[in-house]
Amino acid sequence: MGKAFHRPEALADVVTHYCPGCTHGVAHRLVAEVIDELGIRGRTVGIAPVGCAVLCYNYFSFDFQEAAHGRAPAMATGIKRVRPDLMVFTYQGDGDLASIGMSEIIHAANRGEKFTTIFINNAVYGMTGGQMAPTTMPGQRTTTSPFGRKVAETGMPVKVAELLSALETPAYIAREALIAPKFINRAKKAIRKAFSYQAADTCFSLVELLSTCPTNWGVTPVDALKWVEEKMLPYYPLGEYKTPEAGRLNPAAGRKHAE
Amino acid sequence: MILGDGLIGQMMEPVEFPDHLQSQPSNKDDWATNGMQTRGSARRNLVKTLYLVPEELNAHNQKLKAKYDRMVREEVRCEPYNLAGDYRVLIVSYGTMSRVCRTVIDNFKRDGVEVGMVRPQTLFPFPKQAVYDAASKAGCRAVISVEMSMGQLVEDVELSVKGVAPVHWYGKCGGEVPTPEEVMEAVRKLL
Repeated sequence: MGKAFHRPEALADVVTHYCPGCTHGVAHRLVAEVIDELGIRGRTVGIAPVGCAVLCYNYFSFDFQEAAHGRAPAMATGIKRVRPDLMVFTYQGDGDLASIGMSEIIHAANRGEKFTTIFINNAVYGMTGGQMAPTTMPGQRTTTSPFGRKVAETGMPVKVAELLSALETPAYIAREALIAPKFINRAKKAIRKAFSYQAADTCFSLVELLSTCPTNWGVTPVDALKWVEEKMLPYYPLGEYKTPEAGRLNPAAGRKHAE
Repeated sequence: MILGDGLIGQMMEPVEFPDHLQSQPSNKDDWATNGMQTRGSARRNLVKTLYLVPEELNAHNQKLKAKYDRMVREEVRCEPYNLAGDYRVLIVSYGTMSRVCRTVIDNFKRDGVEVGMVRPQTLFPFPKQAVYDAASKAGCRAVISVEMSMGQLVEDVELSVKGVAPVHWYGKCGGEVPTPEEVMEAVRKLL
C-alpha cells in the first residue's frame, strides 16, 4: 500500500511560527503541492511580503527573495522580465498588498506582468498587532477600531478581486476561502490554474484567499473559521472573476459560494 | 550617493554607459535567485536582509561595517582647489555652489588673498581626512561651509574639522544661487 499523504517537496520540513488556527500553513501547503504537481520547483522564485508571511521563505524549498513593504510585485516584475522562463509568484497579505502596496499591484496587474500573486485576506494586520486593514469588515473590532470599523469614517472594505478584475489586462483573478476541505480543494484548483496560466505564458494571475487570524480577531481557531463563513463570505463572494477564456465574470450574481 | 542641488537636479544631457557596467558577476550562482534548475543545484538561494536572531543580525551588521570600511578606504572622492600654497580661509562646498566658490577664490587671488577649497564628491563616506588635513594647515584661520541649503553640509564639516579651526556657514536656498560677491562678503568677515 502506497503512502497516501506526504509533505510536498516544495515545502520545507520545519515547524512554522504561525499561530494556532492561522491558515497561512494551509495556503503554503497548497502552493507547494501545486508547484510539485507542475514539476516547477527548480525554476520557481517566490517573493515574500512584509507581514506575518515575511518568513514564508523558511517554509518553502526553492529560490526566494524579500521585497520592500508592498513592493513584491515590482520585484516579481523585474525577475520575470529578465528571466521569462522562471515561474515567479508573490505571496502577500492584505496589509502588504491592499494598503501600502495597492499602487504596485494595480499597475503590475494592469501592465499584464506574467507572474502570479497569492493574496491572503484575513481582514486585519496580523504581524503589527491587529490594526484595521483596508479589508477589515464593517463593525469589526481591531486595535485601531476598538468600537468596530465605522464605515461612515473609513469606507467599506476593499474588494481586491473585484477591483483587479475591473482592469482589462489581467488574465486570471479568483477568490477562494481556506475554511473547510471543500473550500480548500477549490482554492487549490484556483492556485493550480493561476500557475498553469503563467506556465503557458499568459499574463497576470491572482488568487485571493480568505483566511483566518484567531489571535488578532480574539477568537478560537474554530470560531475564526465560522467567522469567515458568516461574515466574510457574503461580502467577499468566492469564484472566478476573470479567466483568459471567458473574460470577466460575476460570481456574486452567478452562483453560490458553497456549491 | 550624488551630492545634488536644485540646478543639478534639473540638468539633462545624454549619458553613455560604458561597456564594463553591463558585465555579469561571475559568482552569480552563489546567491542569485535564478532557479535551482538554472544552476544545477539542489541548494536554493535566498535573498534577504531580515535577521530576527540578534547574533545573526550582529554578524550581518559586522559584514556591512566591513564593507563600509572598505568604501572609506577605496571610494572616498573629493577635489582640492587652491590648496597647494598657504590660505587663510578654507571653503567646503559641493555642486553648483562649488562652481561659484571657484570664482570667489580666483577673484580673491587677484587681490592677493588666498582662499582654498575642498569639494566633496562623495558624501557617504565623507572625505573627513581631506577636510581635516586642509583645515589643519598652518595659516588657516577659519572654515566655511558654503551651501545652497540651510546647513545640510556644515555638520559633516564640523565633525571632520574636529575643532582645529572655527567652522562657519553661509548659504541661501529656494533655488536662489548666491553670487560670488555675496560669498566673498561672507568670507571677508573671516579673513
